Amino acid sequence: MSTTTDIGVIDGAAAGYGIAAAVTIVFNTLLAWIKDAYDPLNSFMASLSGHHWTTHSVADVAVFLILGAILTTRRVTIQGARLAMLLAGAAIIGGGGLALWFVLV
Amino acid sequence: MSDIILFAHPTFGVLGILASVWVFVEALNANNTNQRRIRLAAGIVTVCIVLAWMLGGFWYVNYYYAEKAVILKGPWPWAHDFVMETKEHLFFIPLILALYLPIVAAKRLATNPAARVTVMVVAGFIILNGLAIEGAGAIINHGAKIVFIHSGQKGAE
Repeated sequence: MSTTTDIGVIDGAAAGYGIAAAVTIVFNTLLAWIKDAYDPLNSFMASLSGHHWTTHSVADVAVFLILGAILTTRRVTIQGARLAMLLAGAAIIGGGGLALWFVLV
Repeated sequence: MSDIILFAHPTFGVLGILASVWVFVEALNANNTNQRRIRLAAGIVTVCIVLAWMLGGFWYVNYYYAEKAVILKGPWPWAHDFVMETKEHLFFIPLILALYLPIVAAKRLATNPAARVTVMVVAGFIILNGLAIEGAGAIINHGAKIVFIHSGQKGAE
């Protein structure tokens, strides 16, 4: 049965990399929390590239590209409305989570 | 040179935001004639945000430590502790969305409502995050500037 949110399915790279983008945004916030709370991780990340932020950048882009490629290869599909909500939710939770963390800590 | 990099960073950020507005409006009015413009605008978003990331990252890693020291000694230490700490990680959200935008914008939006809605959501969040990050940059800048304003030195105002 069709609903108001049934706008069709997204497939191919748009689906694989779309899900990967949402996962990466949440991963980014989790990594920021963990490295801020656990100094040895921050130091380890800094030792890899000279600065923890550079390593954080590379990790985020790598998660997005690798997970996106895996999901695309596996021919993942997702409802358009679900993908849009997933991306919006990830951006709101990820951004809000960062702001809240640095307010409280 | 560091000043050029510092100003190029938010400039490319603003251009990325403007290009995202362009993508959003084109997607809102998606038809058989504007698909090429949507793909072009989405590509411009990616290029601008990636340049903003690289330039800002280079400046942050190599030059920010001096400004940070000034901010932390001033009346607005939260300009670093909260605003900069949030901004330097928040930036990755529009970056990832900007990398994804041309992938989903490659779909034919006029006949694919799922892709069209996704493009609008992605472009919309690049705009919202981008504006927040631009504002954060202004606060960080003022966090350093206010130290000299409050120093009482003639001309600092």
